[in-house]
Amino acid sequence: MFTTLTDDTYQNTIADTDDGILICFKKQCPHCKNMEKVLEKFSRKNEGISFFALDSEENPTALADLGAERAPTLVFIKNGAIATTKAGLMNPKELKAFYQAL
Amino acid sequence: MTFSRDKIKNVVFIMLDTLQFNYLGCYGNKVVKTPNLDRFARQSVLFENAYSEGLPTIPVRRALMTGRFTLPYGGWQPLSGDDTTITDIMWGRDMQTALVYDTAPMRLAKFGYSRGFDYVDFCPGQELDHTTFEYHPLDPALKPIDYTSPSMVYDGDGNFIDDDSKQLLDEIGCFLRQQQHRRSDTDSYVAKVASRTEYWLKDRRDKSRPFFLWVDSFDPHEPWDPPSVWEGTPCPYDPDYDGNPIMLAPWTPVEGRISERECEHIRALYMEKITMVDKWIGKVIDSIRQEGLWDETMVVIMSDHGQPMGEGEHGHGIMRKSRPWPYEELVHVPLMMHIPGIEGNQRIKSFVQNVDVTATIMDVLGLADTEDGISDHGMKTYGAEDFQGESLLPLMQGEVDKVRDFAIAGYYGMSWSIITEEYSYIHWLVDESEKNSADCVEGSEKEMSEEMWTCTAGAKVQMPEHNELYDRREDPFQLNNIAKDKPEVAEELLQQLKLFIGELRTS
Repeated sequence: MFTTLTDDTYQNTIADTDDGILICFKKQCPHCKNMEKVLEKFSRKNEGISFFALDSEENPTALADLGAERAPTLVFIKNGAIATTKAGLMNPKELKAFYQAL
Repeated sequence: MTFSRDKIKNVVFIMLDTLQFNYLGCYGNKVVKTPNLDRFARQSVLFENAYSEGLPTIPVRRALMTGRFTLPYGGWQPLSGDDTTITDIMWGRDMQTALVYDTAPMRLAKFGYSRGFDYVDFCPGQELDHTTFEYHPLDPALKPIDYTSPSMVYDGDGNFIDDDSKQLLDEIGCFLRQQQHRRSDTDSYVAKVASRTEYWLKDRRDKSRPFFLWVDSFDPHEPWDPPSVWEGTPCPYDPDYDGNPIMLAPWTPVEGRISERECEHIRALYMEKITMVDKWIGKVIDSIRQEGLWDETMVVIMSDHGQPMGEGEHGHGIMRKSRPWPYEELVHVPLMMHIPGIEGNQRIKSFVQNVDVTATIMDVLGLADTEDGISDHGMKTYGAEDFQGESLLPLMQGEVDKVRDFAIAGYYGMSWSIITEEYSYIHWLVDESEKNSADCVEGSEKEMSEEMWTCTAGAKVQMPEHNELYDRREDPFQLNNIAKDKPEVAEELLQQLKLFIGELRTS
């Protein structure tokens, strides 16, 4: 369900997205795996939102540009621009509330 | 009788604060006499490896009431509007709810732990409510210093050793102001809770409706004031002691303050208090049977934690919960359940945690699959959709061997630990100096930092130097730290712990 983004593609994809969430992850990071599960649950209840994933360690340009030094960092996209980013964990209820408050 | 949810109408949940698991006959203690709880154990299912996750008193209540782990979320805090408790879920259903308690932390201002109970009976005076008696005049024959060891209070020159000395005498004074009216053990705290519970069961409840009754007895928590202290007789578990009775000791490490002999005597008074608690809770169990409720009522008896009372396996060098240390004597708790139709006299080895008790209660009542909703008058109703525990019914029916491969315990913001069959591991969230100076509720003020829930690019797992690893089979009471001998095991357990707490944080 996650479209993979890279240093080459992330900027255009964000510009083309009305409503999306990007997770910047590290391969070995256990917290990232937990956060992906939360996003999966969220996606089932929110059709119409696009989901993306970017490997922070392999894409240093994106990492620096998006301020994603810590993993997981979520990047919330609205109307082709970054609305906000959030590092750390959230549970489904918290994600729902956070998203609705944007 | 076979198990059938239709036959079970009621639940009685009995919480006995500070009843250490290895101070019961049914958990192997050969000295302390607990005939009523031992009998209950023979008639019910006893869990050998139940562990409280977030400590102390309040996080345990919160986990039990919400069915959710507290360690990833918060410590000593009120129930919030976002929490959904079992009584919130019972609202709007045919269930009367009652709470009879003297556990004063539950009654703290704005804490809200009596929320959702139709009938609430708070019995005053235990610790944190003791100061409400501060200004009652005290019988001049009763002097606080006679109820503790002077050497715990005064130095060689006759001055207070520190502020803990004054606090100790003030605290004892408050208990004396209440207990000066005591004439027999019928006036003890647990006796009052038990009698008021029996009143509700026999006279007050609506006998035509199912019920959920929560009995929360603070005894056998200190003060260590069993009958011998009031009768001026030798403590039956330590009759040769010739010092003052020790109703309370200061909230400090024992070194240089409380002697080993004094610690031993405190433990004896604690045992005598447990025998008294056993007697009075025995009467509550008998009432359930006398009312004809035994075959239609689930009964749970458990504790929230043990109590550090000395060196080594008795408390790792501290007295009372003066430090946020999650050792075995504190976090391993007794848990027994009678469920009509489930075979009694069983001993179960699987790890279980507080949240599983809640999940089981909900499963037995047929409320496990409920969801939040709206009533036909537009009012919100609540379900168990956010529960994190596992029902223990399949385990108790022999359908599965275990529900958890490990247990976790800790103090929010201060310490996390993971307990497996082979090992136990303690991960400190604070440095060594804070570990040795903080009190047991300080962690509640801490914001879990972003570092806790994220990794930096290229960062390796950071393992604090002072983390502890123990061989659980050889050293269940955690006296010999082998973290330096088995660093790879320590690292693996730390990863497992972090992953699990992260899972809880994201659900």
